[in-house]
Amino acid sequence: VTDHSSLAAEYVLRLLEGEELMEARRRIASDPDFAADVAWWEARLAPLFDEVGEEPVSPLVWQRIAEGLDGRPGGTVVDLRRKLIRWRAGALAAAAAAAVLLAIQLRPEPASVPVRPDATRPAPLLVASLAGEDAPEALTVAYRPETRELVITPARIAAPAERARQLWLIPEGGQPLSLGLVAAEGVQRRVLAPALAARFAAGATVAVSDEPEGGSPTGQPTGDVLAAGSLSVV
Amino acid sequence: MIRTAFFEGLSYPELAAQAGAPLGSIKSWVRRGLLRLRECLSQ
Repeated sequence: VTDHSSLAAEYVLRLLEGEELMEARRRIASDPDFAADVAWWEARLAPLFDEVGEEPVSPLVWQRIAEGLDGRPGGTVVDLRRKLIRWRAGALAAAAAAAVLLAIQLRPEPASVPVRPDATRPAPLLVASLAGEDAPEALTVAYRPETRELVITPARIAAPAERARQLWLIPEGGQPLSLGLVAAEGVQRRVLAPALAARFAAGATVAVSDEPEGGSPTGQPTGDVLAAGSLSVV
Repeated sequence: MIRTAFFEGLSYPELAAQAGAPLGSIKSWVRRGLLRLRECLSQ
């Protein structure tokens, strides 16, 4: 069997010449076991034909190779081991080169065309849930950047007579910007001006304050903040 | 030597000439190497 197999390997490695080569070819045609051996060797040696595509050998295999080499002093064996190391180094270098080539190939081309909004992906939505610590006010605010549409859904808004509830956007590190008054009931939709819309971002705060009827006269909150929440992307 | 045979596509007589060793020795070295390689690759 061993003779069998090494002849197959010799054939795959194209070591054979003349009569031995003829013999191997005859046996591939006539001897299924031998043909299977040839296939076995081809499967294992073929990756070496293109070193670039070589897969790393499992550590177990290297361990067995190393064990086989160790404890066998002799010029030939030592030489073989040195060759083995060079072989491995060569394969690693080739693999590294392949990785570099792949990286170059995969590097995205500079974007010369403006990125088109992906129609298949749902547009992001900014949502804040506002609740008061001391006041019973509760509402949700949803903002769709695509359409600059703000949707206010009051859960519990109670404005005493001659008072109003005003909604504010407070960008991170910025001054409150009025989003208008909030009615006590019903879903309220409004389309924001672009300048205001541009300030909407995740992390910004949305708050409701207590204001005089008709809203804050100063453009900034004048009464208590009744409820607040921060915007997050959904 | 297997590597040389493999990457340089040398046959036994060419290997023997390159190594300056008798053809029979080359053959037995390579065969032994192949069998051990086979053991390492099996499992």
